[in-house]
Amino acid sequence: MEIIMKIDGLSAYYDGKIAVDSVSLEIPKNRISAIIGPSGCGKSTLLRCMNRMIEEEMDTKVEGSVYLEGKDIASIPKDELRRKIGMVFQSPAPFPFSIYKNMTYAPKYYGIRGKDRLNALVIEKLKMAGLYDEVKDELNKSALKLSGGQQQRLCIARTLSIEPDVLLLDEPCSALDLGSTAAIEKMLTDLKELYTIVIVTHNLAQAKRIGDYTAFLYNGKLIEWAPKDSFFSSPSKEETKAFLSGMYG
Amino acid sequence: MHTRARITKAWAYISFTLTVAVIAFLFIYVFTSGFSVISWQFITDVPRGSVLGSEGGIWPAIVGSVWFTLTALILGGIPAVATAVYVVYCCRSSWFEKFIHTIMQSIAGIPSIVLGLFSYSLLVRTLGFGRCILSGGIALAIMILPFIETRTEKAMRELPKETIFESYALGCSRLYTILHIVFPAIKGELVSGLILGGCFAMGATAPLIFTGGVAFASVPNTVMEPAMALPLHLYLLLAQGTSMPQAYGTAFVLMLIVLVTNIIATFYSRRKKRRWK
Repeated sequence: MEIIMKIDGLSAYYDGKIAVDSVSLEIPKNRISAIIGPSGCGKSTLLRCMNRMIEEEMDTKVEGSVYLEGKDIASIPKDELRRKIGMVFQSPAPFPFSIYKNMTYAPKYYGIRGKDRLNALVIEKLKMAGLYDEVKDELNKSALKLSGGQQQRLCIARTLSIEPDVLLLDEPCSALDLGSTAAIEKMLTDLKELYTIVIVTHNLAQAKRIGDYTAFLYNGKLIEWAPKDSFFSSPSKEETKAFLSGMYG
Repeated sequence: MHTRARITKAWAYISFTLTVAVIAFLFIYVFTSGFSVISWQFITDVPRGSVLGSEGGIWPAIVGSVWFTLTALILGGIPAVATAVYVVYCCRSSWFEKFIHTIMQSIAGIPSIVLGLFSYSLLVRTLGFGRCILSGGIALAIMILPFIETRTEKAMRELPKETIFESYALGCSRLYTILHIVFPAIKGELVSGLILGGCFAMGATAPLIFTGGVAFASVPNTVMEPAMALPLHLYLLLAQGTSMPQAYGTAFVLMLIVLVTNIIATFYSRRKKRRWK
C-alpha cells in the first residue's frame, strides 16, 4: 500500500479552542478514506488542514505537519498545493456563471488556453462527474439553475478540472436526496482508480458502502484508524464500539 | 391589543406621509422658485453683474463641481474599495478588522468643516498646494471614503462565503478571485455606491471654503487651480444677499444633478442585481 499523505501530530485551534488534537494518520493512495465521527468532532477541520484552507478562516492556529508525497505542505505554495489537493464542500456553491465558465475558471487561472483544449477538458471532467449527458446541450446555462445534486456534481467536476491527485470531500451528500447521493457514491467509487479520495461523512452507512479505510474522530482525537472491514466488524476501542452502536452521533 | 395595533399603524402612516410631504415640499418649492431664472444662458454663462453673481450664469460652478467630485471620487474611491477588499478578504484578525471599522466610523463622524480646516492647514499652507481643486478634492475624498467603504464592504459580505472559498480551494489567488468573481458580482452596488458618494461630495460646501472653492474663477484646466462649486456659489449668493432668484436657480441645478445621478445609480444597481440572482 502506497502512502500519499501523512498527517503527523496535527492540532488545530479556532479562537484558541482546540478542534483537532494531535492527530497522526497515513492516507493510502488510490483508496477512499472515510473520516467519521459525531458533529463537532473536528472532521471538517482536519480536512481543511490538509489543503491549508483553514488558513483562510479567522483566528485559527495549526500545529504539527502534513506531508504530501513526503513534502511538508507548509513549504508548498498554496496554489500549487491546492492544485494537487482538490476540495469539495458540504453545500455546493457554483460560481454565478454558466456551466461552461464554471468549468474553465480554474484551468484558465493555471494558464490553460485555447478553445479546443478547454472544450475537451470541460467535456472530459463533466463526463467523469456523470453530469455531461444531463447538461451537454445547455453548457451556457447558468449553473445556479441546476438542481442541488447536479450542482454538487458540477462542483466535483470543477475540482477535477484542475487535475488534482487527492480529492477531499466534506460531507458532499448531506444536502442531497437519495438518488443524487447514490450517483455521487458511484462516481467516487469509479474515480478512485485515478485519485486518492478522503471523504468526511457523518453517515456511517456511506462510509461502509464506499470507504476502503475508516478513521473515527471523537472530541478532536483520532480514536481508531483501520481498513473498513476490521473497523466495522471488530473495532478495537470502546468509543468506536459505542459510536457504531449508535450511542452518540 | 387591537387599539394598540391601530395606533401603531396610524402613527406609521402619519410619519410616512409627513416625511414624503416634507421632501416633496422641498423639491417643489426649490424647483418652482428656481425655475424662473433657469434658461440655457443661466447654465452656460459665467456669473456677471455689478455684484458678481447677481446676473449671468453658473457654468464655471457646474464644471468646478464636476472637477471636485471626480477628484474626490478618484482619491476617495480607490482607497475605500481597497480597504473593503482588505477587511473582507485579506484581514485574518478580527481584532484588526474591528480597529479598521472604528477608524472608518471616526472618519465618518468628523464634521466636514474640520476636514476643510485640516486640508487647509496641511495641504494649502504646510505643503504649499495653495487653494486648488486638489486640496478641496482631498478633503472631500476623506469625507466620502467611509461612505463608499461601508457600502462596498456590505455588498461583499452579502456574497456567499462558500463561493469565495470554492475559488480559494481551487488554488486561485485572492486577486484572481476578487477580479473574476467578487467585482463582477457586486458591480451594480459598487458603481451605485460610487455615484452616491459622488453626490454626497457634490453637495458639500464646508470642506471647500478654505481649500479650493472660490467666489469666482473661470473654468479650471488643471487640479492645481481653484474653482467655483455649486453649493459654495449658492452659499455665497445667500450669505451676501446677492440675488435670491439666482440662488434658487443654482439650488435647482444642483438638486437636479444630484437627483438624476441618484436615480441612475438606483436603477443601475437594481438592474445588475437582478441579473445576478
